[in-house]
Amino acid sequence: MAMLITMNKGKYTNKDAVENVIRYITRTRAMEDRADEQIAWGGWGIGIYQTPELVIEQFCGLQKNHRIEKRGSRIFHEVLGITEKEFGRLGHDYNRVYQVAVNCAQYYFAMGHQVVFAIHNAKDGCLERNKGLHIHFVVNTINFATGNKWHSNLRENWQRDRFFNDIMRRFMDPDPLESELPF
Amino acid sequence: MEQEAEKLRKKTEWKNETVTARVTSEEKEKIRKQAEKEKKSASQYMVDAALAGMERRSSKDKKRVWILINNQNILNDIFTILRDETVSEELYGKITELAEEENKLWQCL
Repeated sequence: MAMLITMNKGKYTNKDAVENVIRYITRTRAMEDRADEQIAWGGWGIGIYQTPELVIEQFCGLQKNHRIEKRGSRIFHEVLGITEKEFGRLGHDYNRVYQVAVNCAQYYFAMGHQVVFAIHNAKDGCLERNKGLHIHFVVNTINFATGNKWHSNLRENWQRDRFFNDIMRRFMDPDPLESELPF
Repeated sequence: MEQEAEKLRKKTEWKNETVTARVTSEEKEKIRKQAEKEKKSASQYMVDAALAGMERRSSKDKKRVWILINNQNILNDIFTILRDETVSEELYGKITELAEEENKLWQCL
């Protein structure tokens, strides 16, 4: 089962937080040496047809409009880790993984938040917490419809984890072991 | 009796603060005429207009942002379609120009 992990090591309150995290997940940092880990990126409520600079501008534009400086964290960051077995059931097809990412990201957008996602396949022996195939979701904590902040409790996090796993199952081939069972 | 009730009502809405604004003679005349039309004093008209403007601006802002976000998703779809379909250079150029103009709107927030 894929695991959805909330990245809560950083508070993401400083003014560079948006740029730093978006550049990290889109592998467009100044001295980037892990660009080959990135498979694709996309999003909802932001322009994905240009460079990540546009995304950063759009995140920050919305936040500036709602006076983010005194309102705590600027982004919410989650990672969906996909196991090797699950990637196998996705046919080792990155297009299907992309569709999973698009559908999962739409959850955040439907709640009124801009979101950018990036699919990474980390190298073996990588020190990163999430090795192998995983999808980063970076969410603008400001709701574009109401101006309210993103809020999510443990129960909602768990529900979201289940929902994302359900989305993934829709794109998976049936489990050959399950199909052999008599009941 | 009614006059006394009116006096009492006015007493409970104390206006203790003052806001001063320097205006040109044309601006003053415009404000006076508009206030007369609405049967208000010039100062009451200015206060009402300022408060109404604040409310309208905030709801207009939200609508504006919503339209910007929606337009981004539409542009994303257009560029996704353009990846798979061949279009004339002129059309592609025009769409790119539209996207760039749309991007400028984000800077106006």
